[in-house]
Amino acid sequence: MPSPNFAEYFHARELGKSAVIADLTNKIVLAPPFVPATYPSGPLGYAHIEPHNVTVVEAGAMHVFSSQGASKPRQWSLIISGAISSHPAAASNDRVVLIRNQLKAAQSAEPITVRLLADPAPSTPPAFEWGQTFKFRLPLLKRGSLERFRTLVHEWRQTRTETGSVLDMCTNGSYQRIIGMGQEAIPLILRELEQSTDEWFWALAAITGANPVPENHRGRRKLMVSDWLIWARIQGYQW
Amino acid sequence: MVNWNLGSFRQKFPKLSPTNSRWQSPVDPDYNCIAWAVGATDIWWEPDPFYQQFWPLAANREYSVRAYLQAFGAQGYLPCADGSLEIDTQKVALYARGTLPTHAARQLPDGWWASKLGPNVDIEHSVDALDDGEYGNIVHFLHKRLR
Repeated sequence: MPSPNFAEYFHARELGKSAVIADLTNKIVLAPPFVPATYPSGPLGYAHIEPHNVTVVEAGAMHVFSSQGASKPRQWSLIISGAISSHPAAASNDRVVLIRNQLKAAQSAEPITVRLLADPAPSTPPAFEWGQTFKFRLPLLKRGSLERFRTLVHEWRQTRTETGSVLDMCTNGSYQRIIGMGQEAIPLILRELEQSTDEWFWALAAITGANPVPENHRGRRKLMVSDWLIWARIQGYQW
Repeated sequence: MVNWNLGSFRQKFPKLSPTNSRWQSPVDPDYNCIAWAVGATDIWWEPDPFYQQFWPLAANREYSVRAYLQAFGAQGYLPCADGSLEIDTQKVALYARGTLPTHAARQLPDGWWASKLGPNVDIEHSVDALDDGEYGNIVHFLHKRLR
């Protein structure tokens, strides 16, 4: 019997309905449309979640599944779309940071499966709480959202005035529809902001209600970009 | 004088022509017309409701002619009668479309006016070259003494 030292994070975006993930030794029960997979064996042991850890995954939410082990945490292994990477975890508090740093926000309509294997310490916080954290910090994309965002950005750049004010640019209908996408648009906007310093400040402020731009940075585009990206990382956004 | 391609600008500003305007600098989204009117090239002046852009604290943060007059007032500008060239005087023209302030241009020593077209290019033009276009028309001239 393999050690029950296992934690699984399942990116449940695109489910479209609630599903059940049960993970037993060499048996992974995933409700459709998931495709069962086999966990690799190795020094970290087999995948194992006790029956009471079976959790309903809400559509569009992100959850962390974790069994409770007695051993000291030593290492996390992430399996993301087939690629495995290992990361040391010095303390249980590091884990959330580690996860946030490693997982990317949804970028396409293709479901992504991410599994974490580790040796959770008794002090490991309940996995459900982590799931809650991710749920609100990492907005997930509904089917077609990325494509919708790209279309709206393209329309905005085609139709906005190139000689006007920020007001003119941001009251453009396509830009307003991007704002209407809400939190879901944030990681996509952050990616745009990082790649080109376009006028995304209005949308970020409108959606998040935040303003990380100090008074002496206002109107200074490069500083504003930096302020927003730093704020987003602190908030746990991934893009 | 640089010969510039008026292109789509003619659609926005129907009075613009090669004889009443000249191109000055390439596209630069880091500053806008209001900043350029007061001589800044590294900052965007606008009273956006989310406090992202710079706006003088002494001016109301709103899109109104009054607030824009206050913003220029904070830089020492006062309303004046016209855009005629006066010695030792810097003048600014404020444009509005209806009640919405849209643009500002700064008078040059030769009597022409310097305009930054939003995030786009800088041009120099005659006083009426941008009239009846996207920016509406000049609703106020302002001036301040240079010494």
